Amino acid sequence: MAIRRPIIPNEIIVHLGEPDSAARNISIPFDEYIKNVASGEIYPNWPLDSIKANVLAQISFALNRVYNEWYRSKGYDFDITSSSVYDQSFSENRQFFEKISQVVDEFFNDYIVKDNQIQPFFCTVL
Amino acid sequence: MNVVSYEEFKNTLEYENFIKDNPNMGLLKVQVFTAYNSIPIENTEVVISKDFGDTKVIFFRGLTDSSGIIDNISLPAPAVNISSYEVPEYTLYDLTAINVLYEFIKQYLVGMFGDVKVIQYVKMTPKVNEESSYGN
Repeated sequence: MAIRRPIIPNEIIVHLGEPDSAARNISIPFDEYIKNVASGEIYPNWPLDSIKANVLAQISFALNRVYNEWYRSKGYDFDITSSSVYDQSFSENRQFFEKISQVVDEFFNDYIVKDNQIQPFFCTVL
Repeated sequence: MNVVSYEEFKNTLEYENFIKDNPNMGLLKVQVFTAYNSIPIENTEVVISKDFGDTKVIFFRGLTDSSGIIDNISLPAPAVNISSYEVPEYTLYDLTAINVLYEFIKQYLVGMFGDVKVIQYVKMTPKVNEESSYGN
């Protein structure tokens, strides 16, 4: 039977640098990746609705990279990079904020789609 | 370098300046894991310190519980304006985690914000016994 929606991966492989840099790949739980990104790109003092909007966008962005095999289709052995120039800001060992972590747990498995498309929407929040 | 406790530091002039800049308290939760976050590591010693010139002040020292956690470590931090888009100020502390059965020592810089709870994961891998690390 065909799968009607993308499966959220348990883990995501992050390249710790720009795509062609000689950096390590690390495999981490998908929710931990989102907590890391969100705790680096937004602050815990922001209004709660802004935090929620950002987290949804960050989940959708990452899932879009996985769903479209953006890097793997180009021959790389990772799903996403840690560089905010190419993807979203990720830093190994970064601290999380509890408030942001709770929002990620609340929204985990949700993502944004456009119209009736199946693929997670490629989106960023400025 | 001199090492002093937080209680001793409170009797110094430097403390008055420090607490003026850090009037609020932030909370820190430390979680220590191994095996890709699946196994907590208990009895890991966690030390939170900060250097003031040639003096190291120890703000906290404790052991993780059976869940690999030390929760609600209270540390002085700048006030944060909640529900605003201002970039908040923070104070950096050194976090050192020590466990002789694992990687022995790991160090992190943790930024503390007033009235904000911060979570720091510490991931350790077991110490490998060279003689038993090869297959049959």
